[in-house]
Amino acid sequence: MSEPILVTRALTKKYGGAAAVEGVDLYIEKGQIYGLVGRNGAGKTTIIRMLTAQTVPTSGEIELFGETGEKGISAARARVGAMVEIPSFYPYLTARENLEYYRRQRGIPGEACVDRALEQVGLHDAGKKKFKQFSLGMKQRLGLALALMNHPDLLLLDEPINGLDPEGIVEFRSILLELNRQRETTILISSHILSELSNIATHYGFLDQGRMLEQVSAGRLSEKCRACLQLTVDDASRAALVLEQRLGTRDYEVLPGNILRLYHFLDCPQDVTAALVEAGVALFSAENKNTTLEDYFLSLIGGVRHG
Amino acid sequence: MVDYIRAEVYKVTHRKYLWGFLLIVGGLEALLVCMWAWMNGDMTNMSASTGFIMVLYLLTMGYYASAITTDMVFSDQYKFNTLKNEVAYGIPRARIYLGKLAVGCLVSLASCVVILLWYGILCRVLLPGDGAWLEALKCVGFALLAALPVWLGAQALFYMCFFLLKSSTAASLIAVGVVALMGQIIALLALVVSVPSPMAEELLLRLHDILLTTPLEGIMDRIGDWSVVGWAWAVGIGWFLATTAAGVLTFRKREIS
Repeated sequence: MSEPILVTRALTKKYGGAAAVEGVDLYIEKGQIYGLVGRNGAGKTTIIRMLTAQTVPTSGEIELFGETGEKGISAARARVGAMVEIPSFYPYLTARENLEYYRRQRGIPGEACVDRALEQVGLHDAGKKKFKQFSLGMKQRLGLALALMNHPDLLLLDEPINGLDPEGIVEFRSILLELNRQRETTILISSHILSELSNIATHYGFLDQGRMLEQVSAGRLSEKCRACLQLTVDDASRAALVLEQRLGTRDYEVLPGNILRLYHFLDCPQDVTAALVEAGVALFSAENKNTTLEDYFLSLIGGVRHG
Repeated sequence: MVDYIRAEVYKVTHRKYLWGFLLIVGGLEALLVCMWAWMNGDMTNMSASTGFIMVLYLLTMGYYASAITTDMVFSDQYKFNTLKNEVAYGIPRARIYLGKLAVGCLVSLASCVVILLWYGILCRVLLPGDGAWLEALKCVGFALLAALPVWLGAQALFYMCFFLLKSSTAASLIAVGVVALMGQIIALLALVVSVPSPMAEELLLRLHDILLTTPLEGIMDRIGDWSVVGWAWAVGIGWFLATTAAGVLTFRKREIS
């Protein structure tokens, strides 16, 4: 079994009486890229803010690198790189001076790590530029440079690709993948841009209204999302019998509401419908489904909500 | 803690704020002494020692200079959201608070030395000597011994306000209000209650005694009275410890957004 890097138990944050995060159990093992998925206001940022000590949990427990006590977690945070919301730096200092300030503060040995971090995020030419002159994309890159400066074992990234141009997004993704592959850096990344998450995440946690709906590996999720023929019938158990006995397949699942998902016969759905009709099963609809991460998330939260 | 202090010193020395502040104060000092030198013989009769001893009239400025050095080090952390970069990496909040306070005190002391040294040099060079220079040095030195602890007490008060309030301007105004107005308010209250309740008046006068500004009131008439220095240190240390403890405890649970 792989080493757990970050575990939360019943993590809760309430503001007044309202829960921003309620009873969240996270379990992230070494080397995982964990995508925290949720709409705006789902509680993603609040979770990351609790993990980065910006806010104190109302209740629940955080275990970081096996440490649970306040002192132990505080020391373990030195192994973390974090980027929460829009990166913030001193506007009157240059990019290099900002990083040098934090390097000294955290006692990271060797000034070379500052230049290396700037190089890594493609800001080597902008090191002498003041932070106040940076574009949003450049600020995001500098935020990542700060997070990478101490060679972290765990990266906590909150909406890190906001403000990046397409080229920046590709570079950003390749930096994360490289870190994950070469240094086995564990990454927790929150985003509502699901298509981007699906390019890198090995595991997902789906959040809605402060609660964790489901945690699933990318492998299991792609199994759940794979292409299928979705059939709506009057009697799912009779239809299942037809699929097994007449068509000889067991590669299907039965969902609530007399819905079946069949993962065979995608090229010849007419054979399936004919077999069902011949057997006297009323078929209300038959459609090819190719579930995306977005579709899956929306089905979890019960569809698109407005207002 | 040493790393933290080194980083804060790095930040402060890389800002124009510190150098600008010293330049402006140094410029004003030069202007003042030049004016005295220029008018000497006609309108004034200022010697190096009398010029230097004028420092005693400006001791209250030390309280307000504390607001500037606090702002210099604290650097609008809430406005720029930079505190999150510190707590996220496991730097304990007590270290953040005490580290910034320590650097604030260091910057204040260093600025004080530079400002006084420059003023002394200006007086010695531009104003005529009268043989009382050493005596003036002793007077100013004695007054500074009493002023230093209460200035640092004020510095700790400013830090508490800066850490607890999101707006640096509001924090400065409140802390300045406490330093500048509390003495007058308590003195007025004591006067009001003196007839109906002498006990309340006594209590208010005792309270007035432990205010940051009280030890420096009438300091010029008490040069050489060491009880003033002892009292100033007791008041200064008391304020320093009380406001720092309150600040650290409150900052521990503060939301950083």
